[in-house]
Amino acid sequence: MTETRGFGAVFFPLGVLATFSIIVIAPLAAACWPEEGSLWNALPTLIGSGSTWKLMGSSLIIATGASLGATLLGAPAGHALRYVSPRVRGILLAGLFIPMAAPAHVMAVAWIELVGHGGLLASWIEIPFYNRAGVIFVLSCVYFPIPLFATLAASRRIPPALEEAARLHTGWIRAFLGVTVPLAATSTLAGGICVLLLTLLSFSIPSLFQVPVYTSEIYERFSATHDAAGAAAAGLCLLAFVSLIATIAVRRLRRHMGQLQHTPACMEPRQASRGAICLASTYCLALWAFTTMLPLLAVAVRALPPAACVAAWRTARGEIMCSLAVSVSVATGGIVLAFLLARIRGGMLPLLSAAAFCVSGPVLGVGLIRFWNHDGLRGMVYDGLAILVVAGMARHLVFPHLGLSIASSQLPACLEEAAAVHGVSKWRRTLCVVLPLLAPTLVLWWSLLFMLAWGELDASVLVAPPGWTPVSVRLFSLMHYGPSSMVAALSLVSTLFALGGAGGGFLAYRLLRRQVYG
Amino acid sequence: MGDSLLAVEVEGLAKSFGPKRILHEVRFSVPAGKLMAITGPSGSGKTTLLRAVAGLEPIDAGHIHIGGRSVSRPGFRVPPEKRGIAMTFQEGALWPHMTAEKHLRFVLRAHRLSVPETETRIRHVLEVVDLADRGTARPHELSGGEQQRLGIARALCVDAPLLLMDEPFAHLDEARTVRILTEIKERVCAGRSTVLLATHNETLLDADLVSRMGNACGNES
Amino acid sequence: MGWTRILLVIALTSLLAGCLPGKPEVVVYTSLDEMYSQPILDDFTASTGILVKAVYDTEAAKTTGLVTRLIEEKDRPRADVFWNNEVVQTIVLKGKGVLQAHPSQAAKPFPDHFKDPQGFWTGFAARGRVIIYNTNLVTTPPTSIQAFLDPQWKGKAAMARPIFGTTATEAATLFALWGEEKARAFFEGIKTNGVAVLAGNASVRDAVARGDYAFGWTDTDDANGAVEDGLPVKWLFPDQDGIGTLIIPNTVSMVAGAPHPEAGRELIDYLLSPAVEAKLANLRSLQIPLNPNVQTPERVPKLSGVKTIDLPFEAAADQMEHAMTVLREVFSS
Repeated sequence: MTETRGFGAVFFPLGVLATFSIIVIAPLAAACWPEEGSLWNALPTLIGSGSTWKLMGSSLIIATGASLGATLLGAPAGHALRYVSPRVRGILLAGLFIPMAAPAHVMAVAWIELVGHGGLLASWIEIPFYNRAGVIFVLSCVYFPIPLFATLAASRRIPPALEEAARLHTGWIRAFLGVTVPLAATSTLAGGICVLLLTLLSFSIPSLFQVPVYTSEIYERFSATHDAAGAAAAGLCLLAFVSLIATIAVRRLRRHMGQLQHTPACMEPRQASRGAICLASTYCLALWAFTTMLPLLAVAVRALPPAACVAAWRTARGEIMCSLAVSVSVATGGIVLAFLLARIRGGMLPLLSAAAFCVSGPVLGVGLIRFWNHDGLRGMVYDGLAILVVAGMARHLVFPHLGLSIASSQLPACLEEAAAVHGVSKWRRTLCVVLPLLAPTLVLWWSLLFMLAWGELDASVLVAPPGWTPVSVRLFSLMHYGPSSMVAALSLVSTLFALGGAGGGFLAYRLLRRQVYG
Repeated sequence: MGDSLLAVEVEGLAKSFGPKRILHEVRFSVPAGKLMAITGPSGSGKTTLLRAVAGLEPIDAGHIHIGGRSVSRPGFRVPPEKRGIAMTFQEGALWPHMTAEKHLRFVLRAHRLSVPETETRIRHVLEVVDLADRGTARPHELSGGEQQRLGIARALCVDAPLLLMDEPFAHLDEARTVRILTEIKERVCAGRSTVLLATHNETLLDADLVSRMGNACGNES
Repeated sequence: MGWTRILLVIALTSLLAGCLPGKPEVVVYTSLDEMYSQPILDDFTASTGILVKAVYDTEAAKTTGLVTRLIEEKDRPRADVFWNNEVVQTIVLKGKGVLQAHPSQAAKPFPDHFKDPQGFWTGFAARGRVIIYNTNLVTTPPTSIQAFLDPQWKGKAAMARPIFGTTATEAATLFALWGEEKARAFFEGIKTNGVAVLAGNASVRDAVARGDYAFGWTDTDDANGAVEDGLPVKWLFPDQDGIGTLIIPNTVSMVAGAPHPEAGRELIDYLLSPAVEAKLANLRSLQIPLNPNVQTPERVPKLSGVKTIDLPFEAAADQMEHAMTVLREVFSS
């Protein structure tokens, strides 16, 4: 449609698209289109290889197990939290979010410190931990907050009257199982599928447990035989597989998602019985103690005496500062770009953002080198700390991009229209209407992006500029030769920073939400 | 095409959402300084018609002229902010982060009024809609009726030549409705505004023109 | 002050800072563990005033991460010097045109076997591939790598995944020495005999020290660390009556098109100095000096006292890519 459009209306989307292309599409294309078309030669070999399918099978077993485990742990907690008082719920939610806020490799170290060889419990019980079951267990404990939040969000949309109507004819257990659980099931399932996709892509935890998975195939092709084309081909296969699962899941789930769509987001159930509240609180506390406090306590014990933490801080002060600067920049830059992308509503763009995440870190890292390591402006970015910011943004942009696109589309259109019909320009509408209304969501995604950037390892390790080392890279190095107390202390310090960012963001979100929506 | 004495002229307007035809061959014209009521049952297309005139919906056929200027035709649409209009929304469309006064100040800033003029208008309009003591309240602190009055105040304060009102009195008591209607009619009589008012209840109105929208999606004037 | 002015001041300051002559610097990519390499690089800065900017490898990407990065950066290198903790990947880089010759005077005393005839790389401070065994579990330790195939030790031995680090170097050497058929049969035999394949040489050391396995295949630096920590382990050079032990030197090389060639050459000469070899020999890593002029400490084995595998490293480098493809196949199934 040809409308009368000003200079800004034409060039603003172009500018946003150009920025997105430079940060996400160009490195992705550079990685996937190696010289001499070798990618296309590598694909048939890869698909025809038996080991490819075996590793994919292994990944799928682990991902399915972790998805089931995370759902079995998280979904009951999601339902339970609905019955807890709002204040206690906030505290429990913050506590239960910790396993996801801490970098994944730190949680793996924590579990190894607890039940691995030489771990705190190793002298009491012998658990065969370095196998698929171990990986599934740790991944379940790391990702259970996703089905938890999904279930909680859905269960809070269920009108209390639906349960009450069932209670007139049956006991609360049957009412809960017959009405509440099925109504929230679609959302719980969506959370479980998210876990499935994330665990299919996970590399650091299986590699720490020495369990071969498909992502290690990508990594080995790239690092053992310097076969960048083979690694890119393997990355594309993974991308296709993940996209297939995601597409099937979205198509299947969309049909059922509508049933709670038109109810308000926060419906408190009527007063639950003391027994129900007690049971719900006990389960959440037990889950928090088991999945969060126990492993982190093991790290803390290993990090003793406290001087080890001070020593870790002193040794890695430079790296922590580097990570802090990079993570803040990634979060800020990523949020600005994601917000602008959400404003121009590019239909296929989130898929490209997702592709940059799915092709695996080393493949994206190679693409970043190929695109940015040139003379001129690109070289200036590549030679400095900015390349780590670009790497973090390229790898994790998908999360705020999708999140803000959804949040933006859920904002009632009439709010912006009301400003437009009263003569308010598009810029002022964006600044004074859309931005303040999305501010709580922006802050929430900022903190999530900060957390992801803090733990980023796979792409950063390939492009870290000389003289700068992010703390995640340093930690991975120390795991090899450093004393375990130092590794534990640095893991603890690293977790505290990640939690600081996430916690600060969460508090700011609550504050802003209250300010904006009352 | 457009007569300069006509504030709004709609010719052969058609609009569909997917296979569902909402408006078909709608035509009417409103001379400047008149109040036209658009009536009809729910789902007859009153809101869609107002949104099309406001430039919030592209149209499939026909054309719309405002003040003699072509503003909408298939493939062409002047953006709403450049049409010189004001509008009240059925659903309120109030900004949850702004106080009542800030709502008005925000839209008045777009019209580049001086600060004293802005403040005078805010005070006057809030008095008209009986919200003078609620200026610092935010939408969630207002009742349903107060919210609707704030929406009306926002539309009135900019003093636009064309005022579009979508079910503006649905939640108001009769006394307040009469008071606000009086203010609107004063503006119309003074030739400051032309009003298109969509309502399913025309009993309170003493409109200059009435356009009835039927289920056949067309209209009769 | 308005935002425009503030931005202008920042831009001008950055521009001026960029134009001012900076401190001389050198960029080194090193795969030697940071705890050993950093003090030496700090000493270099202290003695020359040249700032060293280092990129270290992580254990997860051992050596190969940096090698891939050097290959990808070939058209616009950022590194001046590559200090590798092994040799075969360095030769691979030479083959890909990533390195340039630097026939250093400091390389003269080193044995010919451990340096490139054209001066593309020089080996120094070597490690041996050794058998580490748990003294609580083993009374008569195995003296050959053939013990990994011995049914007597089924499920009782461990090694690192042979596609990374020095284990990959040794695997490529065996492929060159024995030919593909015999080497493949050897590694398949290892797998059949239940040898545990762990993440790295340090994991092998830890597992043997804990008693999870009776013996394992690792490097002298890892093995000596465990001995110095008082753990119940000993180590020995295998196959002293047979093919010999693989001795793997650190290698230092100049990157082609290095942005700071002068400083790079200075760093290479420094790393090849007797002082550095002596320092590396005295550390926990127990690196064997290759320069005959360096006084070898008592605790460090002398190169002359070890029977080494008699094969040029280039032959192993030629086999590297193929060997890795075969071994990935063997160990992924």
